[in-house]
Amino acid sequence: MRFARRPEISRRVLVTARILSVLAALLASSLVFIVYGLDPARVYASIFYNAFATRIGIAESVVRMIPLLLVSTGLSLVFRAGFWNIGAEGQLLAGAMAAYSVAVSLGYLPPALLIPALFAVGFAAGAAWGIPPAVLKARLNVNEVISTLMLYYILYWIFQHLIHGPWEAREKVGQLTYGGFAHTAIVPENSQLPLIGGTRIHWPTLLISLAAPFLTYLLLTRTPLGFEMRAIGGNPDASRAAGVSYLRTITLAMVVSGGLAGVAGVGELCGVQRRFTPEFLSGYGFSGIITAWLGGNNPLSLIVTNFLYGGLLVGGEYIMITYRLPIGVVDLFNGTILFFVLAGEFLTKYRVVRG
Amino acid sequence: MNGLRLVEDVLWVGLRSATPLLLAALGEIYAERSGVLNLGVEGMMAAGALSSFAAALMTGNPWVGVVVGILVGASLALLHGLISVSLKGNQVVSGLALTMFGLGLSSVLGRMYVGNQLPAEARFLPKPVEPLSSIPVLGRVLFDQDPLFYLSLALAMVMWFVLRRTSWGIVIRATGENPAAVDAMGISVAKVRYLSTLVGGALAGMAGAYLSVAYSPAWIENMTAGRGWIALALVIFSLWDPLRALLGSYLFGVVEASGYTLQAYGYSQWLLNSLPYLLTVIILTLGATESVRRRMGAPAALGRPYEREER
Repeated sequence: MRFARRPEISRRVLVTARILSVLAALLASSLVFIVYGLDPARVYASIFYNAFATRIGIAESVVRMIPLLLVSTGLSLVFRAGFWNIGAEGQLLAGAMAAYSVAVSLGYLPPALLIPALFAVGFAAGAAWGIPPAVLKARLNVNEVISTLMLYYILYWIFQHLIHGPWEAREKVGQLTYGGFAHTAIVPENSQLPLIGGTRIHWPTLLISLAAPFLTYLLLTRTPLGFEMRAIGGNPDASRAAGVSYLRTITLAMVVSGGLAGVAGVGELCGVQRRFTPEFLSGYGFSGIITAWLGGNNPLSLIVTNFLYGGLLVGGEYIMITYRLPIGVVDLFNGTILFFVLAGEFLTKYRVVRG
Repeated sequence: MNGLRLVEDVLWVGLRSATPLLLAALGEIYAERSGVLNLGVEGMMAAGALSSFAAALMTGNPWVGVVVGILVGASLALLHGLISVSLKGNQVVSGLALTMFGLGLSSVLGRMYVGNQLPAEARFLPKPVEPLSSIPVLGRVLFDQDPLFYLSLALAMVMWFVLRRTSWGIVIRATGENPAAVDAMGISVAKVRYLSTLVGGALAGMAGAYLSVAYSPAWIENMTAGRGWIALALVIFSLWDPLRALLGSYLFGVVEASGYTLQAYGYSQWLLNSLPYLLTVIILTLGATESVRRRMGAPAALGRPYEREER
């Protein structure tokens, strides 16, 4: 018995394989619940119910979908160009930090002016934090997996420094001013994003996140630049020989990827959390890698993928609180899902032949 | 005299914090030399740290802890081997999956140990080797360490020798450069790659064991703190050479340790925490520059699954 490559794979087979892989991964993850003495069937029912069966649940799934969709759309673009940006979490943080300093210093501007500026600044900052790894890779062949991740760590500690020091909130009680809160003040009212009534959905970011996949899809399939990105991802040496500038193409791809992550950071700060705490980051930058991969790095399929994944996070948070599970459960799920998707991919690409 | 004491302290701490980096980097050098890129070092290290901590706590014997850590690291590497060698999957994605899986596993199963401390007899403690340890400065730095430290030094030399001077080494290196040629010689590419990946996992597990059984007195969640990624950068810095990895990790450890002494002078602990990562970017860039200058790149088939040409 051996394996041979299947000549062609239909889209339907691919999608079915992805769905089956995720289900198999969830089944395998049941082990964790059994270790903790829980009934997996009840846990999964509770995840599903709390994510998709109530109005609040659906709204919360959308709240999680927004940053995931932005991050994974950008990642799908750089991944197609063969560039492994693992540091979207840092680019998201860069966007949020830039938005914070603008919101605090220009908080007197009317929202109609301030909010677009915040998104623009967030995009620029995320892009700026993403460009150095692209240039280092293009010029010196520096491994981008490590450099993007290290830039995340570096910014994370700068962030901790700021919120424990220069940016720390000082609150006045009577005559005295207190510090030592390890969080910042709430961003000015004019910089807070409007919500859809009765939910936590910040609609300006929702609109951007829904538009992003379509624009990215057009960029990737309908423009020369998109063609160059795919060419570089397919065969870097051949496309270089054909005159495609690796530096320019990869840098632009990272501008989009880092920029979209930065926009996600603006939404998280000004739409959801409104202040920085040490727990500001919740791993969207890393989960976005999973959803980009689950969606086959195809921007259009990302909307559904991220909504479902956002629901998984909402249900997951619920069970973590109810059953007191550690936060690492999410990592464990993510890793297991990826393994099963990789295995499923093999079964769709190859078939068993006798002899 | 006080200054000398400070230098001694920095070197001693630096070499200790370099030891897990060295172990993990040595293992990854073998995996990558055979053509398998395993980005899951961080995950294997975390799982190794937890399992060896648990085993040492249960048996009261640190060596049992190390063996268990090695076995757990190797089993996780087997998973990566399965995906990247047998299933010809994407090695970058599989490595990331392994990182998340290992970190998640150590967090979920390690919860019951948070704050637990190993009794002194279940830990590796530095022990002076008389009379060498009384040499000024270097005596304490090199001869007042724990057994795993000496083991890692020996491993670096043995692994350099095997890779450079034996026929096994030639086969491993050839598998990473030109697997088709190795296949034509009648040697199984899959077997070489599996074994090298397992060596990588075993050493990453041992690096984790060092953290939880020798380096830190208690179990802390997320104890690896990015060290797996730093080890991956050191592999590139070392140009895939075990002895250069020894040099690189010691250099890294000492620079990191001297940074921390700045905390005593009032520098922000948060900003100092970012130093190792900044240093990693720097050594990564230096390594890449050196590799361009010397025309010594990564193994040619690194990250590429091997498929025999169909005839």
